[in-house]
Amino acid sequence: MTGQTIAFYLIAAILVFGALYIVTSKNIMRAVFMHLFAMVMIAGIYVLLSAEFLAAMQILVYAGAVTTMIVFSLMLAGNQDSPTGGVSLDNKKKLPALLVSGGLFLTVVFMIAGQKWPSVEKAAGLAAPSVAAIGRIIFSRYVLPFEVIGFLLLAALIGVIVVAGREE
Amino acid sequence: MALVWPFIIALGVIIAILTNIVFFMWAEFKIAGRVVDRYGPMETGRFHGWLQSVADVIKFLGKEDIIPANVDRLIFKIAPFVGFVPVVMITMAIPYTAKLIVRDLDIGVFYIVALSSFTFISMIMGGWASGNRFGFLGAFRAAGQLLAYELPLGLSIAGVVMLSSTLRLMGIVEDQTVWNFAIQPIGFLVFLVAMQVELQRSPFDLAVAESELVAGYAVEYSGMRFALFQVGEFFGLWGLSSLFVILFLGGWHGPFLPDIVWFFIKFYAVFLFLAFSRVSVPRVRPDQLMALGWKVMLPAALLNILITAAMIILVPHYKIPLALTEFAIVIAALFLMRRAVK
Repeated sequence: MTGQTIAFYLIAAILVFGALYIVTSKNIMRAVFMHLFAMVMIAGIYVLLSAEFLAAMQILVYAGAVTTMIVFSLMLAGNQDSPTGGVSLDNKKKLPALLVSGGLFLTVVFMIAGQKWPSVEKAAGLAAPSVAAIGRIIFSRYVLPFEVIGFLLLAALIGVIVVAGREE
Repeated sequence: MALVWPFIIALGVIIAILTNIVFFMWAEFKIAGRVVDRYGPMETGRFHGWLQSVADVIKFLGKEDIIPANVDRLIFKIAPFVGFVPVVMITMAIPYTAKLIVRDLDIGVFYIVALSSFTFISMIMGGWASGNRFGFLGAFRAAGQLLAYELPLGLSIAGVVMLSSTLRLMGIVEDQTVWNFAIQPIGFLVFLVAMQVELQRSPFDLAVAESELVAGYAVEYSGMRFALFQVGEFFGLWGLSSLFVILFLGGWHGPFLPDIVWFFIKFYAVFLFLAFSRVSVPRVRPDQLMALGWKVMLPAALLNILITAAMIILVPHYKIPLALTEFAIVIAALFLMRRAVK
């Protein structure tokens, strides 16, 4: 047991607890804040894997994303504790929900288990890739996926503007 | 020794910041007083009330930590810490001189920007958990500002990163033979505004706005938890002002005097600027702030990146043409604004 392993299991335990809290909590705001907490834990795992740039990006992106989620969850679902009440968070169609989420869970588990992963100790021993190296590989070898993602996000952005602008 | 040294610096930095904060608070009282033709604190400690903030700290320590009945207790309790811990972590990555740094991170700039957004998250948590309408309004203003000003802040820094082609703060300082504000005036101005929004200082302190929202997100807080928000604000001020000095004012570079002296001359100059802008400019309206963020700051930051990238690729010695182009744009924008105001 090295320090890295202990830290990994500690972070992983907190992360799993947080993730379970998100899906079981009846209080939507607490769930959203716990989501941020879980994201910070994931960033912690990235730091353990010497992926510091990814960790910083994780926090930077999700801090903003969580705020957006707070705004939307309150606008769409309302505050559960408020006297006027909000939208019920319980799903009536339990069986289809179980099938879909269970199927997704199994797919992800099999995909992760099918890969050959280096151990945490080994990954932590590797030299941290410099940000310059990440930049070079994104804009050379992975430039097509990068551009496709950018294009997808642009399409989503334009879609939102079209949908939101129609009401006027 | 190599392992212990960072801890010694870290402890020294925290003690230095805490002692500075006490006098920052006093200096702000005095400056705010002078600007509106008052004396400010005069009694405590005889000479110009210099012990006033020490007395304030003692008062906060002795106060009861009141938690109202209808709050979300868990979130209410942890919100001040969510704001406080990240800003302390920010001050750990700042190079005060070439040797005086706790840890020179490879991703220094992004580390600071990522952690600084937790301030807003803590405001949203505190404001929402208070179960108070003023708190709630403050929380939502904080949310809007986080979304509107996170991008300009990050993008204005991206321009500097492109110039020095490193994210290490140390590398950015070493690269500045000419200080960056002279090369990238657009990025400089965008960062200056976005920084003040991030710090929630008047004229951009809409989440607090004591004259309309009482104390905004912090309205139900008292005692040490309230003090933690306040101290966190000053830690954030320390962190972002230092970042500003490093990114745009050449860090510890300067003639004749030792490095550390130069850093703090620049740092206190930034502090004085912030203290004066706080009391001399009226607070903006929320819609004005949003319009400024999305319609002016974001396009300006993107324009800065576009010009910088084009110059780096097209012109061999790009620094002088880049500076001239950006200054021309700033002057043209100011001229147009003046005509619009007329």
